[in-house]
Amino acid sequence: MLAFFKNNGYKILGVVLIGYALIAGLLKSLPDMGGNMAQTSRNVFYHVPMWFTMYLLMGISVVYSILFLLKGKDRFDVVARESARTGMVFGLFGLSTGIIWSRVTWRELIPSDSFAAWWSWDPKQTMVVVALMIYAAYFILRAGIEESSSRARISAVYNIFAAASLIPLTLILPRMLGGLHPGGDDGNPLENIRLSNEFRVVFYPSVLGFMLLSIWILELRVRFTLYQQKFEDVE
Amino acid sequence: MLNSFWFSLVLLQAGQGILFQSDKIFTVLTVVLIIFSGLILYLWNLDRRISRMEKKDKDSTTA
Repeated sequence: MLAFFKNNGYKILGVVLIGYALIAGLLKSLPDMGGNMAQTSRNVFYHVPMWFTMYLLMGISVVYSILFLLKGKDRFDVVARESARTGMVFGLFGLSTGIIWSRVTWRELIPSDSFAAWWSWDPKQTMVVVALMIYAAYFILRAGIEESSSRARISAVYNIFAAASLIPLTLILPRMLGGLHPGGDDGNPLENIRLSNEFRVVFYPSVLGFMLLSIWILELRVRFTLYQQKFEDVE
Repeated sequence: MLNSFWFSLVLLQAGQGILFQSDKIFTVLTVVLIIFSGLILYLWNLDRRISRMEKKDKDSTTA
């Protein structure tokens, strides 16, 4: 019984936290944001954690790339690759949910057949696509190198540059340029009063829950790949 | 998958009242929870299968 919780405890905690975030996030009464925001402010509980989770996974990915360069163990390269891959999935979740949210809040008057209804050229939205393309190039680079040890080494070095570009592209530039996302005019949204405590009690558990869920998915992907690699050379 | 189907039936039975409330937010919540529980059951199942595979592999290499 104890061993069960030792191995699976974080998974159960993640599921419970997301379950709480889904129930409380939809049912809790919140301060009315009014105007075009209205009830869609609840999206903070689901859209934003996708990005937090992506940063975590890209962080894990680059840490394992550095570990690979230092220690040269093949399994570190597997973790780096699978983590970047899972991170991209969460990034695409964040991007698509953000498009829907901005469609109904700031672009509601624009007809649906117009591209501007779905794409605002908001700095964060645009730069995130650039960042995701940089990560897509990581996989293209990997696919282009036949020999597995140089593939692991070269892509690990590339991954460090990819992770380093993620911060200015998605965290610094959008704050300097303003746009639809908070943070441009009044600093870090987590520190200012615009995120009230009524949001925080659901938001933080949601972030932690989705992070734990993503670690679970990552663990499964890594274990499966390591198993598969015993029988064939997998890229 | 069958589990989440039963789960939704139970919810429908238990929640005759709340599912039909005027703003129907509980209906949305039910849909969301069915999807979420289905995904978790899927992941859990995958986890068990991979564990079984690893165990079998370990047994065959040590034997």
